Amino acid sequence: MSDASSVDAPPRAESPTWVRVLYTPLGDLLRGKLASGPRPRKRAKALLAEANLPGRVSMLIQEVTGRTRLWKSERHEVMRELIAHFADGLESGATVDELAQSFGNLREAARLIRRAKKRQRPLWWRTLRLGLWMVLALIGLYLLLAVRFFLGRPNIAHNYITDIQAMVNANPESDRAWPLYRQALLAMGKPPTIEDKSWDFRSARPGGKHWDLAEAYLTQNADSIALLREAAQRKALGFVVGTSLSTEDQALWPQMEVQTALNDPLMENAVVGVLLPYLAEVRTLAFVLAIDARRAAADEDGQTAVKNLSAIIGMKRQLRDLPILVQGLVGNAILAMTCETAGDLIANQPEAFTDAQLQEFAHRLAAVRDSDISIRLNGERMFFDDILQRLYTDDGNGDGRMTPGGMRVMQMLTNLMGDGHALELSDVVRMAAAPAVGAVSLSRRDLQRDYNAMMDQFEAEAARPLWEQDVSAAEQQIEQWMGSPIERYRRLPLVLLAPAIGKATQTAEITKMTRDVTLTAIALELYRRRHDRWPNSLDELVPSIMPAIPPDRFDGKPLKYALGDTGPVLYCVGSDGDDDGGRAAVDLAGNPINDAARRWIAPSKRAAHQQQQNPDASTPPWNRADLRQPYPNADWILWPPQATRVQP
Amino acid sequence: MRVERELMRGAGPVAVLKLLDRGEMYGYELVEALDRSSNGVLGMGQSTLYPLLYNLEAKGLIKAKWRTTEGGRERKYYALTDRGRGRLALETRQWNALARAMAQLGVLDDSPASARIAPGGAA
Repeated sequence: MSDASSVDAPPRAESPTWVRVLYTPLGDLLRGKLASGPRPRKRAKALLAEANLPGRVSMLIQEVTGRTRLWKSERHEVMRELIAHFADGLESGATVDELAQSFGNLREAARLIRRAKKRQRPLWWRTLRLGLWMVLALIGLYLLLAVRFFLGRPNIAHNYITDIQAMVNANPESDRAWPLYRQALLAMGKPPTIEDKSWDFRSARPGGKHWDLAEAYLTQNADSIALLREAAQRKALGFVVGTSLSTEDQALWPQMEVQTALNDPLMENAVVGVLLPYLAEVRTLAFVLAIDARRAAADEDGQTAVKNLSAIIGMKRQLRDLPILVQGLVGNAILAMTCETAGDLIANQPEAFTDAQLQEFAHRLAAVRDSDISIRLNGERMFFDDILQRLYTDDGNGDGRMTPGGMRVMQMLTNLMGDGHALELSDVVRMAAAPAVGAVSLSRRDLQRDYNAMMDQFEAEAARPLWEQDVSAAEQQIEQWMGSPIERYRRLPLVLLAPAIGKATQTAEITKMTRDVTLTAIALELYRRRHDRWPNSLDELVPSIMPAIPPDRFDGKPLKYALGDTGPVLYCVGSDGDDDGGRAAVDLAGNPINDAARRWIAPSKRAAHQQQQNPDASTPPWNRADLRQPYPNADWILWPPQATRVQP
Repeated sequence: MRVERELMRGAGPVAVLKLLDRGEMYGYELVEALDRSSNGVLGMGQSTLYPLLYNLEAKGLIKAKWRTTEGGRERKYYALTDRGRGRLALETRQWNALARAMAQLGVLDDSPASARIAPGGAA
């Protein structure tokens, strides 16, 4: 029998502090001891000793309470009760053996007691326990997700660059213009510039600022310009695209560095890494031809001017040899520049051209069909398919999940595109969050589905003429996704790589109209020559000079024509959608600002603007600062050329 | 006769509630009373009784209180709560319904049904 007094004796003075604390009320609290009865709680050993039960019974009680692994206060309570039970039993005459036998299995007893006592624990504990289990479960689930995520590897099965190169190689060398362009570029060198950069070669005009520099350049490179005309007659551009330059092309761009922003093993031979430096060069060559055409017209050499302008049309055609969107856009841009140059020459130097020359150019220009100008999205689709195979796993059935490498590439693309929505996170946080982001990301199949649906929508919208278009539903969908952080991260590859199709579509439509306006201007000039007057309406041109009156692409009605004291004007209704009789936009100072009216406004947005319009805004001039009138109440004058800069 | 464990799981708590309905009792007393009142059928060891009591207490059907005996020892007495009384009434109704159903099936001894389906089919 133990000595209860020694067990409960206070600690000696030399005992460590933590031992002495255990004998204070704080110590009781720390040990989970709560007051549970009228008497102060005693330590377990002291309780058993005080009970003075037979050794076997004491051991039984001690073993059972120990096995329960309950809180100390709970164990104390159980011990008290069992002590009382066995004491009652002994008092009633039962033997120790009988009591021990009737007690039952000790382990089972401890287990049942533990389970039952835990049910008596307070609500906060049970809630906390449930919460901890849920957290553990979530952690376990997250670990499983993480394992699954980090084991994912993409399967880059298809080389799309090879597909693009096959399109180029389908044309024999003799049909490819690029070698000749390269030869001309190497011979010509860069167009002249001036030190303060206040003048650009592209703005050179006969008799204008620094024309002497431009003329000298053109004269020095007459042979190369002739080579350009020859090259432009070839069937295709023929630049062999890739992620590196050919040996011959390196001579043209010796300083070019392969883009390193996407220097990742996953992006090797990726379509996104394809180099397109030739586009800027082709554009420069088009400007050279256009300015040389102006020079020729100034010298009344209409034949050369027509040849040059026709050559640019040839370049535009060549730029359709690959379904790369940006290549098509450059083609449209140089076509628009050709039309503007031609329109300017017809308006200001018509005498430089014979009827036959005008007709020849008109035929060449008319051969550019609407379908040659409309944007194509095949290349974009190919680009996206290539990205998908680099970001996602491949289950062999068109589906897969985002991979760690894929997330790394997406982060690089986000940084490259200067995405303002990107979160600034440490690498550790990114790695920890990656499985979760990967889990919520759309599957490969779902992302492909959404992308295809979006592109189908874009193509359907682009197929409609401008006057039948409104706010792009596809772009609205993208904005909706961008507006929700969750949806944005679920579709991150899509929202990052979705091309700005809406603007490209509108520009293509306006390019078509520019072509039509140029053809109409030629027809007007031919009519004037035949009748010694301008026609009273465009109807007089049909069908003797042109087959039909082309449409005003802003409203779908015939192109507008007005004949005033200063001569004829071709115009479209412009941003406000109203026919103002050919009235040009001017600012508050009376300066012409024709370009202010060229912006196409979606009909639904225009209607919303008009509801807010200042009642006084119906009359010009246009006050740019007046936000109630975001566009001038004027027409967009298409020909003859007007002042093109919107005054700041 | 000892009852199967599954049956005891349902009967044991009701038996304890019924005993406590007579008045508060302490643990050993309950063990003895269960054994005696049921001719040993509902006898259970302490390893079963005390967990059962703790469960009933956790559900609020009984309440416990420590008392000091005349001999100076501690004892924990259990008593029925109002909620426990309500549960006892409910269980009682259910057990009675069950007993009647079993009697009609002839499961219970000396029931009319058991006489009708005696071996040989004689009524």
